[in-house]
Amino acid sequence: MRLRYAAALLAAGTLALVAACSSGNGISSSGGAISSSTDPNSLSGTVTMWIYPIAPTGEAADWKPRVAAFEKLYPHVKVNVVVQPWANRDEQLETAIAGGKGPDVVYLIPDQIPNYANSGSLENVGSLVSSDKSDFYPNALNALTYNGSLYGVPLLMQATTLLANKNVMKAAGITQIPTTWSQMLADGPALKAKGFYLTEYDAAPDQTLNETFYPLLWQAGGQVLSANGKQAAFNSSAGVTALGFLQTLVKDGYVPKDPLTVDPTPDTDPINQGKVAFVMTGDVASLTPTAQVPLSAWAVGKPLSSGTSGGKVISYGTVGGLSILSQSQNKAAAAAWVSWVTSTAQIKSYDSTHDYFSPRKSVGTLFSPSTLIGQEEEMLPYVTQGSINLDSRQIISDLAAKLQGAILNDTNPQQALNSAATETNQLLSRSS
Amino acid sequence: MTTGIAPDLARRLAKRRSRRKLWAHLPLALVALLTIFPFYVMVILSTQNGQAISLPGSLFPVHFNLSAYLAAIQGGDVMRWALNTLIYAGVSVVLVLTFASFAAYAFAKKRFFGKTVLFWTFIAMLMVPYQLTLIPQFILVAKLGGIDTYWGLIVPTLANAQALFLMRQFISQVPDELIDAGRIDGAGEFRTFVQIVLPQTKPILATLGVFVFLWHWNDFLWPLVETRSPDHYVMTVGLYSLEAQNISLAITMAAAVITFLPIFFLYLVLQRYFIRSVAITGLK
Amino acid sequence: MSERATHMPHGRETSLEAPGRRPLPSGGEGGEGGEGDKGGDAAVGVAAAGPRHPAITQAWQRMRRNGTGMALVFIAPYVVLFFVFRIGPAAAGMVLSFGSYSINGTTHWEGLSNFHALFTDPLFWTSLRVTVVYTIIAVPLTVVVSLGMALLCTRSIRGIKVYRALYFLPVITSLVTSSVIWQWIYSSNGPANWFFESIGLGAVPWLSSNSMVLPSLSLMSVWTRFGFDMLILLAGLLAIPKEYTEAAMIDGASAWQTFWRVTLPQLRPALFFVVVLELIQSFQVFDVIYVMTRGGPGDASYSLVYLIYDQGFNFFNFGYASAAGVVLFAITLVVSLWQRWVFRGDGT
Repeated sequence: MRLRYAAALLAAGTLALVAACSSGNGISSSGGAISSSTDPNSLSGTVTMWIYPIAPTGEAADWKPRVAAFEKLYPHVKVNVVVQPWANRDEQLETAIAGGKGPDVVYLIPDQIPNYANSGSLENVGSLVSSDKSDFYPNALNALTYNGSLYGVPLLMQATTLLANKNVMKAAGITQIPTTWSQMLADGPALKAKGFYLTEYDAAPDQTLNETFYPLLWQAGGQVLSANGKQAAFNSSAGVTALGFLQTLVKDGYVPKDPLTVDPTPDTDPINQGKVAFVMTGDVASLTPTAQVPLSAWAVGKPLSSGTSGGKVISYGTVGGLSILSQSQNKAAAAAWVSWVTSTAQIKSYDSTHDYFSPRKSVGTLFSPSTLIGQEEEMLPYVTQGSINLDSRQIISDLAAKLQGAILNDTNPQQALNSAATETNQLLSRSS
Repeated sequence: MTTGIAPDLARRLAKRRSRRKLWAHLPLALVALLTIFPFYVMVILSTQNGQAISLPGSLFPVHFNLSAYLAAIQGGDVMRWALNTLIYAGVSVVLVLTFASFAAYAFAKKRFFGKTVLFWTFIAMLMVPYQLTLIPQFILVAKLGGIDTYWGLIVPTLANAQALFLMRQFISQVPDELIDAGRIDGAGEFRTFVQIVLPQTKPILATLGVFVFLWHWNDFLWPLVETRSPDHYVMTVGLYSLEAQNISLAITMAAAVITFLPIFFLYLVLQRYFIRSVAITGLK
Repeated sequence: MSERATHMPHGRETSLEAPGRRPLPSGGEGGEGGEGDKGGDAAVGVAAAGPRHPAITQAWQRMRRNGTGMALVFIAPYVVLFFVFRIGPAAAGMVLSFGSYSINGTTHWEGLSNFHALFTDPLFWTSLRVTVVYTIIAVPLTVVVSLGMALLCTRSIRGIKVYRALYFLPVITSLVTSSVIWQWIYSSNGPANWFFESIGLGAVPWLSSNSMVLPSLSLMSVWTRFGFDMLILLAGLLAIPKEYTEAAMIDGASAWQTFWRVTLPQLRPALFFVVVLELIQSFQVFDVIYVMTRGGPGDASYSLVYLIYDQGFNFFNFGYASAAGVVLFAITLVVSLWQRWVFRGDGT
């Protein structure tokens, strides 16, 4: 009779599973592709948008006037903007989608697009930009494209570039901001002698390589994957050069030790303690001024290039976009909201108040070139989002761990990269 | 307590006891220091917003500011979130303790078919990591229409195997004579349980109650996933929803202190009760 | 050393012949005895007299005689809740290991292919090793420290109550908060190294060395958990009647012998509880790793649950993650059952 319990167990489990599978999760294709031109009075329903604290404070308050303005234009549509925590947002979103309780619109970054799109959770929003596609920077659109379809409409762009601490430079007698790796390394001894660090490298395995290793790889002229995306390409000579450069930085004591294993918070970061001269992939918007390092201490430089043959002046910059979920019951209204929020005037007002740049050309320059962020805006042409595919995250995860090992233990760079490439190729062949 | 022992043995015992007392203070104090230190860090660092952190200055600062606290709660409805959390934790504690102690009594003192298998099934479920159960549990609550409701938040957390395990261990040590004495006096099962057995378990009920309350108070992932609107957030979720991506340790610590303080006061009030009760148990 | 000391009556024996009671047989159970049952189901007293329908009275008496009826009533709410909200989702979660699952609801039966992929994945074996090593360090450490502190706390020293209260503080803090604080404490410019350097010992790569990271995490975990375990063990210690330890001392036993032969056996129920709970917690170590090291350096702290989290929520491979979860479940179950044998039953 123990079977009775086993059976009950199995029944409960099967029930739950069947319930999960059967009615799906409310995926309904509400007739046809979404279009961006509809009579405002014909649209109705509630649109729920999930966004995250992009502004340092008061993100929720920022959206109230926007919602009010939109609801005036579309009198029968209600918009509900919910600011969710950054923490565990994927778990939250995936669970919500699985249970059929997701929002209508959600803010996503390129890193998230492939997996959500591949699971059929996102709606193709190509039709929303078809009328003014040329107004968007191609980079921005590509970053949110997967398998040829666009899954998010760009809302903001970010650029990273070289940032220099003027006070530290002065203290060590450095007068020029370096433009190549060798120039930077040449400044190393002077800084070290005065007790400063040349730069900082965050090697913790959860740190996205987009902001650490990949820019170096690109600056050396390399690529993460081959052109057809089926093979690892980071173990090329460019990759070896980049890894070798990092190992030199660590060996010669030019970088602080902690960030090699643990992501620093702004107040524990040696950068904000005024100990570091150059930040290789720095973003003015995410600088946290401290008493020791006020904003005025910084200067903006062009992204580095490796200086070796094939080297490029290039850096990373992400894109943030708004996506519509396939399970939304109000796709037409959601489409109208997304189109409006990503229209020129709205992007201009949002990005300029959130310290981000516009993915639309028609918005023009947002910040004055006399400000730090304005100078960073000028670096936008040098910025790439990298190429994203379904396995990007896992590749980054595996590679980051291997890189950290190679950096901490000073192993042979070609070997380390080759072993990582083998792993990556296995992964790629498994999923294709 | 001790019946007539030889005088020199008594002397030996007394000497042993006083030597032990001195010896005991040292490790006790050392461990106490190590235990408190991280809390000291938490509070001190929360007052250092806008300062880069370095040692030893940051741990013995001359300047303090409370801007981190302001930043941590700005734009959010903290009072509302605290109320939500209080309801979540409070109702859960009462119900968890009720269901667990009733069931534990049956497991400890009664015979019924399949008892061991059932009990071990409950314990076994503790061995399934939440990453596997999160989505199925959410789908279940969604299908029952409980998303974004109080009951949807609370009910899935009520069957607590640890509570059952602990209650059972302790109820099984309640002497059967007491229970039988109750039955002799004509008390029914229910009265026997409530009036005789439960009072014997007060210390563990109090301890367990605090623990279950804490677990709910600090819970983040399930409330995050279950609630839909900001006025239904619990404290942890609400405070996190105000944090931009690159915030300072000071603000994180301030949010931690805000979440910690109510529990701390509750604990101060209750700990006297249950620690005393634990001591009373020992004198029996 | 008196034999008496190790064979203590547990208060189980009941007298069926108490004066004034009509002895009724305590029969009718379906055969499942289980521990803690010796005489636990003593005869039920006579129902209060009063005119009632005879058949109902008889049925009522039979049910009360069995004790089964009431037992079922007592456990019903808990069992129902448990089956619906714990076993259901857990079973569903584990059944997913036999296929693939996408968040849009589509599932695919794939038999054992997830398990095959799992067992041929070097990262799985790494995560298994990490989890086992962590458990081997953390569990004994936690139990020993908790027991030691509990023993110390039985002393009637001035201020003992304050000490006890302090030790419980880490338990009431959220694990995430503790992890953030300890991450800073362990940082190479943090207070731990500052202290070590100032006493001349030199900095320690707490979280940055492959060999140190698991011990460091275990240490922090002990800090968060010892207060709770200590309280459980303390309650258990205080429940030991003083006569037993005194009898041992009269017989000339040393403190250590007293502890080992008298105290420890009495503590079995509480110890068993603490050990099993710690085992389960350690095998599922995740939060501290997620906040402090993210599995690093390299893979040195990439635990099994971290693998499950990564595969499930980061890479959307829910079937694969579920397979790892099933393996984790099996291992934990086996080890816990083994503990039951080590502790000779769960002590009741």
